[in-house]
Amino acid sequence: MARPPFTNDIRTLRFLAGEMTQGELGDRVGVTRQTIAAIEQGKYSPSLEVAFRIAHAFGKPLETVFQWGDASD
Amino acid sequence: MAFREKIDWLSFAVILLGFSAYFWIFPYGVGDREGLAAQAGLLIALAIIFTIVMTIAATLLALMRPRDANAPADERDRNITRRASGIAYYVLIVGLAGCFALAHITRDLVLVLNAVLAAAVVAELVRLGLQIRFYRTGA
Repeated sequence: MARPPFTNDIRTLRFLAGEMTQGELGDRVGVTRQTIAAIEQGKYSPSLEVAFRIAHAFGKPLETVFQWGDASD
Repeated sequence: MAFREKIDWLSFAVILLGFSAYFWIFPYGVGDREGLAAQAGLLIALAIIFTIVMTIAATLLALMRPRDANAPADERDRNITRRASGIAYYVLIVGLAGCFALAHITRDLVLVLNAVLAAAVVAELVRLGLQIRFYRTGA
């Protein structure tokens, strides 16, 4: 499975949000803990809706949570 | 490991063991009447065993992690199921095409029916195996 061409700062944002657990973030977003773990590790590309929900959970804009990894694409 | 992944592992193991036993002990070459009776008897026995084993095992797994067990499927779960089912569908079609070919070269009804059953079992094992793989790799 190819890694998505973007990175994310979910782990850092969870830490900054009072060490929020993957399970707690999953509950807020409406996905399982395993899905948050897969997104965080760059193994799964979330839908636009879930990406926005994650950003919303942290109160941050989408581009603060997800960053496009390769400027040439 | 996610509850759904555990259930997939369990289903994979139960189906693999159950149908390996079925195809191993099946009395081949006994004629259509006896063969169909054996097929029906073995399949009913397998269905009962599957139901009991899966019910007990799924209940135990759910009792260990009730929150996981009650969680609805999210987009990744649905994506994994859709991708695995799509590939397994082609395996089933190829298997059934083989069964049609077999039906043209043999008059052994029980053998053809067992071939159809084998095609369905292989397709299901492919589906479950792919789901497990997708869960492992992140999907």
